[in-house]
Amino acid sequence: MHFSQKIPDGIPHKTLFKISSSMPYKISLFIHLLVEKICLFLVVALVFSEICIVFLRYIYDIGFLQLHDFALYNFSALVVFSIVYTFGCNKHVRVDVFRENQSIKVQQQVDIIAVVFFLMPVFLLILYWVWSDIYYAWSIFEGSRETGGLGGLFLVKSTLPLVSLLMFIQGACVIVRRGKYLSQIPDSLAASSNVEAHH
Amino acid sequence: MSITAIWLLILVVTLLIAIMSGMPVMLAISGIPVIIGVIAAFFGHFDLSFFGAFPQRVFGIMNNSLLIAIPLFVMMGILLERSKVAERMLLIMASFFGGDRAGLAYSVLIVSTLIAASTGIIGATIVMLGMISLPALLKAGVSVRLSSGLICASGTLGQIIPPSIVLILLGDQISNAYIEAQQNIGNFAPDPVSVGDLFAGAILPGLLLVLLYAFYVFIHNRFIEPEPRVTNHPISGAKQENTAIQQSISIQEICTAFMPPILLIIAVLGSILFGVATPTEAAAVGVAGTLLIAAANSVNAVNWLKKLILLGAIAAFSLSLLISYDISKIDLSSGSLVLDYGSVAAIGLSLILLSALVFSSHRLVKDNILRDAISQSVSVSGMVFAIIIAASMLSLVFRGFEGDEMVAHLLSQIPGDKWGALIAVMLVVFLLGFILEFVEILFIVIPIVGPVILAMDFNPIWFAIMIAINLQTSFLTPPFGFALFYFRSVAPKSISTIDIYKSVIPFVFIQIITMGVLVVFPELVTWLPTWIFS
Repeated sequence: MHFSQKIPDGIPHKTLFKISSSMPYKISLFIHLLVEKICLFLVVALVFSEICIVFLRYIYDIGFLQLHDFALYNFSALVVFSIVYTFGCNKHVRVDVFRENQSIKVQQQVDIIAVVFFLMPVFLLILYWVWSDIYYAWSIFEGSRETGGLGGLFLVKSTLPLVSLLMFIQGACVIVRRGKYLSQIPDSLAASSNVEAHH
Repeated sequence: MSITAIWLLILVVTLLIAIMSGMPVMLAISGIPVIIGVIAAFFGHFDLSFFGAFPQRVFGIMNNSLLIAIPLFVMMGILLERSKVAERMLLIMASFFGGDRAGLAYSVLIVSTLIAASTGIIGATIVMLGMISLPALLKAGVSVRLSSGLICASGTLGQIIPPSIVLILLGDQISNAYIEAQQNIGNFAPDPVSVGDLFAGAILPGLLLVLLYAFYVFIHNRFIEPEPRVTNHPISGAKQENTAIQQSISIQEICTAFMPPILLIIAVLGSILFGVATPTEAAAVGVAGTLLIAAANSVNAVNWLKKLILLGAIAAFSLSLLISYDISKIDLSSGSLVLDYGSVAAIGLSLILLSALVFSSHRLVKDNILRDAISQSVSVSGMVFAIIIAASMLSLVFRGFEGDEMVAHLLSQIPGDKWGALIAVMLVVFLLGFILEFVEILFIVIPIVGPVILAMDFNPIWFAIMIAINLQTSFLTPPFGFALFYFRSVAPKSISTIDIYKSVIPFVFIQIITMGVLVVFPELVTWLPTWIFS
């Protein structure tokens, strides 16, 4: 895990959002912040329901299928949403044996190639092939596999095409920004935000 | 060479180029198979409808309740790191041993074993050991040779000592591979392999490693370097005041620093090993316990909160006693509620525990620790999930080109029947460990070679533990081992990279010896799981 570039600490995201004039950056940041909120909610709900499950099962000897399903649904959504979040933080693992010696320009070119040739086809392909599954899930309002479980599985499944779409947009923003990830703030902002960070 | 073999070769070569280019690995291992598959389809050598199975695979990963343990264990590790529990243990151990260099070296080993038994993240452990214990070790006269090697090696113990994320992911992959292998040879009801099996199987080999490390420290101090080595390494300043060692230390301080993590380890590991809880449930217990420990260690924790947390911990343990001795008569599943002393006590105790949890979380939210810990565990988990999903795309296309049959054929060509094949697989995993992280290796290599190897009459638990130790060795081996990079980033400049390389070589040999011992005595792995789960 190599965490090199982070969203600069000390600058509130809201400030960045307000003072930025670059539209792709704003869109990308908006998606990132939204996904962050969703993930925070999902983790809290997951931890809370898992602790409840353990508590109820071992102390009161009782279990609810709905609660198990609730935990699993939260986890399922977390699996896909966390990928968008990690992409926004630029924390997807890289092998940086050669990257360390590449100039920033080459690094950005590699990132553009990665998005155009790999990210976009993969998530378009998911969008294309997942369609029939999602259509079917919605047509029967698919619920839990267990009888007596929680309904709403069709909504959970729909997170996959949603996330594919979000990844596509986030990828497009990287291209428009010439290979800059969200974690690298626009040049126009770098100067002013440094000033703000010192206050 | 058949036409699919050529496509496979193109796939592997382009994959390596893409990975080495420095792009996110998950984009390389999902994108290259898609591109190669589409191009091959133009020539009529690949069936595009293979891709149709991909969304189902992703749904399968999303629905895999075994993986729930991963974000939970990651969060537990990050919370423990943030709350500086391990740092305090190291400092107290260091002052307890004072200037005694052997004692200090053993204490580093003991503390890293405890950290390994409570989390499974190796990078953070090595960085912390390097910053806190390296200065103390050098000051006490332990040579650079011993101290750097010891820190790198004991920092990677988290991979093998349960609960480790490596073992959870291995458990998932090995059980799939084992079932497939057994079905191929006609056994349609194989005994499933669980994560609990792997945890139990890893304990003795993990302890064996710790013992051998300790033995090496002993030999080194007695015979190789009998005199303390006065080293003059300027120690990077940032952490210096923290490492100031107190002269006297009371038993009470030792207890307050060591008891909470040890109790947590007993609760988490014990509940899995004695078959009471699933890994996910144990991880939930772990997160709850870590919330208490982290809040109690918070600088802003007021006195009543510390007392409440202590009460909560006592309540948790008395509750487990009440339940195991059947004193509490609450059984809501049958609708019976006998209000005797036991049941009333159980209700009271759970209320205390719950309020301790609520107030601890509140404290951590106020301290801005909880939110950070959650977002960090989301980004680490996101990295793991992305690799898992991407690797399933790779293995899908690999099978589309009949790569699995080719690998099986290749492995059967290796001389020395099943041992030859095993050694070949181990070598591949070892070499891949230089460039890839364990998640990629497990999810790319195990689905391909696992079914072949496990059809050769190897015990699946034993095979999994061998892979885990092998990966750990690979992370230690110069010049590419990940552990060395982590250590290099915190070690003072005066310690040369060559010194670091030389220092880990004895430990690499210990790893190899351990694997040899496991080959000769496979019971070291298989005995505990059968004893516990029979």
